[in-house]
Amino acid sequence: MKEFDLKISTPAGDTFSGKAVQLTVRGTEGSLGILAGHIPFVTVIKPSECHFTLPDNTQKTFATGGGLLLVESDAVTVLSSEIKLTD
Amino acid sequence: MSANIKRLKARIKSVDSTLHLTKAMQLVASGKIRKATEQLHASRSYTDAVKSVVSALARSKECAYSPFIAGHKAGKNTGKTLLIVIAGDRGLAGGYNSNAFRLADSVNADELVPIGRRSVDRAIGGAHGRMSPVSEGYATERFTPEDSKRLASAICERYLSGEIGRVMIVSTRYVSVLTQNAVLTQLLPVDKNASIEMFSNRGKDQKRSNKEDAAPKAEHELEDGGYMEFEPDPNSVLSVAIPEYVSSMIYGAVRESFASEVAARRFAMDSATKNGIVMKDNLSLEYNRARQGAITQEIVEIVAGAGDKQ
Repeated sequence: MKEFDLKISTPAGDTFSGKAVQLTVRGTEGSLGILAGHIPFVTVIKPSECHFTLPDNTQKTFATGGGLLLVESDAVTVLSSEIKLTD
Repeated sequence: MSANIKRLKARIKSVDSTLHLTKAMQLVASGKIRKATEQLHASRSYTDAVKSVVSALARSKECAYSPFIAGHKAGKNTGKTLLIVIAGDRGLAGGYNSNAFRLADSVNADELVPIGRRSVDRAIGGAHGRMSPVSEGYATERFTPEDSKRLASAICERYLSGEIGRVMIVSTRYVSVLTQNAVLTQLLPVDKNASIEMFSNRGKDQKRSNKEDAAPKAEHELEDGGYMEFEPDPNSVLSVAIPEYVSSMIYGAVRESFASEVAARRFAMDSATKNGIVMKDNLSLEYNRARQGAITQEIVEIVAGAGDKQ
């Protein structure tokens, strides 16, 4: 699977920054999955539990109190003032 | 002569105790610089990302009439300016506080949100404008993202209700350990022209590649031809992005200012310590000369006295 740069950013610093192959978040229109090569877009993330998959297939989970998702050609940024990596 | 010696001794003692103070403050500031710059760099990445989202929104056609971008319509807009003034928690930081205050004085502000104890003290003294009801009197060192979020949502609420028409912020930009500049930035309405270049460039590249596959949706095209999709629509994203933007801009500015304060203090205390050492050396030399002079004088008097007796 193709990789993309994922950054999970909070005002106090980046909670995660590295390569990932998939990201699943809950947007205003329901759950959405992001893969590499997605068209650039911005959406609102609802308070929820989100998942992402690393290139070595390990799943990671984080909880967010809501924020923004910014997708650029091969860089995905999750912006939220409240984020906690659960594992 | 002995009065002079006594006076010199007292001065040396006082310079010495000042030196202790400046040295201690310099050490404390040096210790804090690393943490302050780390926090600054951590906050920059978030602030830049939020800024790029908002600048893309500001350039989208749908958001052009939002009060956050276009400003309030005539009539609803009270024209009041809210000014956030970020200064230090303490003095003895060279020109750091006075530069920020001088810049703040140049703005005709109706409401004031001071951040930093010096700034709060000044605002209570009624230096410029009156205190805003949203102000809680913060210290820069312990200013948290939560404080910033609370402040930002209170400001956005007042802005939307039309109680204020403009939000400006005075902060100090950290350029390097030796250079810090006081800057005035407009937060709301969002300044379209101050948008970040990198984002529009990236958007343009993407648009080109999109054209090869399928025609981009014209409705989300940005004014300058960049391309970015917003889900569900630009205005809903804007309503979430703006408080986040204001909050991150305030938090980022506080971190910039705090790093500047610490760097300015270290520099100021470093030169104060150097000057103090030179002063102490000169005074010690003068003191030793005076003491030696007094001893020589005494010996001369004793010898003369002994000579008289013989």
